Amino acid sequence: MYKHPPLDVMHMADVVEDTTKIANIMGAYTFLTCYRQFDRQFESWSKNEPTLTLNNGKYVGYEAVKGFFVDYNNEQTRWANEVMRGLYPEELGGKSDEEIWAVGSNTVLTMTSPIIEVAFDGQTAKGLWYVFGETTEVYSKGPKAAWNFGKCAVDFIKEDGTWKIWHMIMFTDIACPLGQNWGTAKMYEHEGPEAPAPTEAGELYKSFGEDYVFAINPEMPEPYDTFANTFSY
Amino acid sequence: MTELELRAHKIEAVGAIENLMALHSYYHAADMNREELDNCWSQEREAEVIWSQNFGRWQGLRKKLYPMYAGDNKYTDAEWLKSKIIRAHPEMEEAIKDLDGRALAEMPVHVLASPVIEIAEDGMSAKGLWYTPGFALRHDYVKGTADVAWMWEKYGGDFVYENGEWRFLRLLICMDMSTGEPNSWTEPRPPMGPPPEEEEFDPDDPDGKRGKSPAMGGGVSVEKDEPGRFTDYKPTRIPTETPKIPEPFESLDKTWSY
Amino acid sequence: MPKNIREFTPEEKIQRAYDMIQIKNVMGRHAYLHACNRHDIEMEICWAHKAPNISWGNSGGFQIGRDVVWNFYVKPHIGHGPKPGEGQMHTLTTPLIEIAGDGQTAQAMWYTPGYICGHGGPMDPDDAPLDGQWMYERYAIDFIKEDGEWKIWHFFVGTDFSFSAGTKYEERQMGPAPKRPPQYGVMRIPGLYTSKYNWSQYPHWPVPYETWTPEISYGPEPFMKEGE
Repeated sequence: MYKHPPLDVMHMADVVEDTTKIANIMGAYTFLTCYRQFDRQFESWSKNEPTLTLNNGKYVGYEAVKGFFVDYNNEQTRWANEVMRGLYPEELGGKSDEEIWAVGSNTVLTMTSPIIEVAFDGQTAKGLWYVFGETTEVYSKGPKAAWNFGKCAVDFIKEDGTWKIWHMIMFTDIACPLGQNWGTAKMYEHEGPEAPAPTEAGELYKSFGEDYVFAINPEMPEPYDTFANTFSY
Repeated sequence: MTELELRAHKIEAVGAIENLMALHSYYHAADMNREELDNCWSQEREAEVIWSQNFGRWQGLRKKLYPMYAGDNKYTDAEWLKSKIIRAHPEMEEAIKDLDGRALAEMPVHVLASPVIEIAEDGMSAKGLWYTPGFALRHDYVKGTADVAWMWEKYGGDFVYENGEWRFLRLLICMDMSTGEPNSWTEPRPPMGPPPEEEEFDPDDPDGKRGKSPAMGGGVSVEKDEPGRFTDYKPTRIPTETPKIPEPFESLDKTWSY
Repeated sequence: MPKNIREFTPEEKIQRAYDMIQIKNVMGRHAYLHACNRHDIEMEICWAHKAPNISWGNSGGFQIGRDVVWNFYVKPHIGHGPKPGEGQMHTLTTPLIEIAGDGQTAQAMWYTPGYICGHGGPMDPDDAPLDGQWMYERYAIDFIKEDGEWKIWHFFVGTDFSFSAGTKYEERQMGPAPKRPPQYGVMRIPGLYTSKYNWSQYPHWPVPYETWTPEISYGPEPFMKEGE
């Protein structure tokens, strides 16, 4: 494994401050996901060829990532709002999307088990978290909750002195309705608008099941000097 | 303070606040709320201290928090609970007679994830936000049962630096979702425990609230100063940014508070 | 929180904050390697190589010494990761990390909400239906700095509960304990950690300290007789 040359104390100070800022971005990610504030959340993303990789494919480039992360998720929220207006006409009927944004949903993807490595040159960083979470989302008959566990790996890039999410992997290990056993239970079928097709479609990661194999995937961040000399998420 | 001293102080503060918040969780899990108030909360600005939950806000460390957060429910009633268990199960007396009664109540563990920590520019205050996907482990030794309840909450904290230590000034606890396995918070809650008519009437505990925390239906006898600022999940709840996500700030007296 | 043992210089404060991040990263690596049973890699890169009495402890006592821990923790998994359909994750939350005033050791605690999944428990046949178990534990760990790098020295795991997902906790059916081959180097301390009465007083949570002493160890030292 690459090892940094000894860091002087001011370099250590930079690493600590950078690590805190990166942890804060990912902490805020949990809360903004919960409130489905995707436009605000996307302000933390780089516009420089970002990527977002999920179990079933990879979105490559600013337009593709925004198309899924912001536009599709907003569309899904508007669909859910409409469902909720129909299910709860006395409380929600006649109210605008802005007034009831994300009503009924409460998806919480907590970030645990961090490994954060800032490059020796201080221009990029890598992080890996385990997501210990749940998804409470609206379906046609109302909100339903499910456990959601998986891994979140991120390359960060410093742009004009600000850390941005550059490449993100979100792999789901377990998605299972609350109150059921994830060994046998099936996740709810998706309802609402269809997600845009990934730039590179395909089963990139298997969730829990008979042929599920827990492996070091994505790779753990390791110390590195500059991004050209490490792997990319 | 030189520029380097201030920078080092703020760098050190992030870990110190993360530790302080963890210490709160461990004290609370051990039902050592009184020790938590002694060792983790502001004494210098004790009148400004606020502890807030969905069911109310209480201000003043000595006037409100000690009696409410660390008072009768946690001590006298815990000892009463122990005597009740021994009455029901004399065979347990030997094992529990020397045990602190609080160990027989419940173990609420508010684990900490997704931290967002901002230290004020002047280094004298800080804000922190966490999500806590926690639980309560509840043994009922009288009935011989146990259960685990999921308690998922948000914590927003204002911190102050006083006498060389970081301390809580305000803590806004937002109970977000709770349910007992195997239930779901999106479904109507099943009744807790057996129907009341099966419970033997206890003149020492006519409403069945003694020895229980508010989260378990226990009473709070200390008058609140304000209503709570958050409600737990129900299908028609509209998400709000409560607690607010910390952002860089100059000093605590020039920004919003929890 | 009690003030630390002494006032540190700005340079020391920065070093100590940097050390906390390194310690979190070591534990993060432990978590992902443990999740896929790659304890061989974990013991190589995360654990101390030179410190005396490295140990892995749980509710019943301690495995002591690098060879013993290797035989217990690594050997059963050598050469393969989890079988298909098996997985686990013991997450790291609620970090409380105290670095000694002398900067050479650290004591830390995490709470670990986690899960295990596979074909039933250890006593079930290999073709038992897939099953998920909640597993909630508390870690207490001594770290030691070796050649400038933080390493795990004593690892203690206190299990609070485990039960099948989708069942009521009180209805859990705990099977008989799996038979294990006899271990050597084991210090048996029955009841060292128990959640029978909720919070277990052992192990203590970390408090500021200047220099590590055997009395505060999360390893076997507090239970050793003089001369051991």
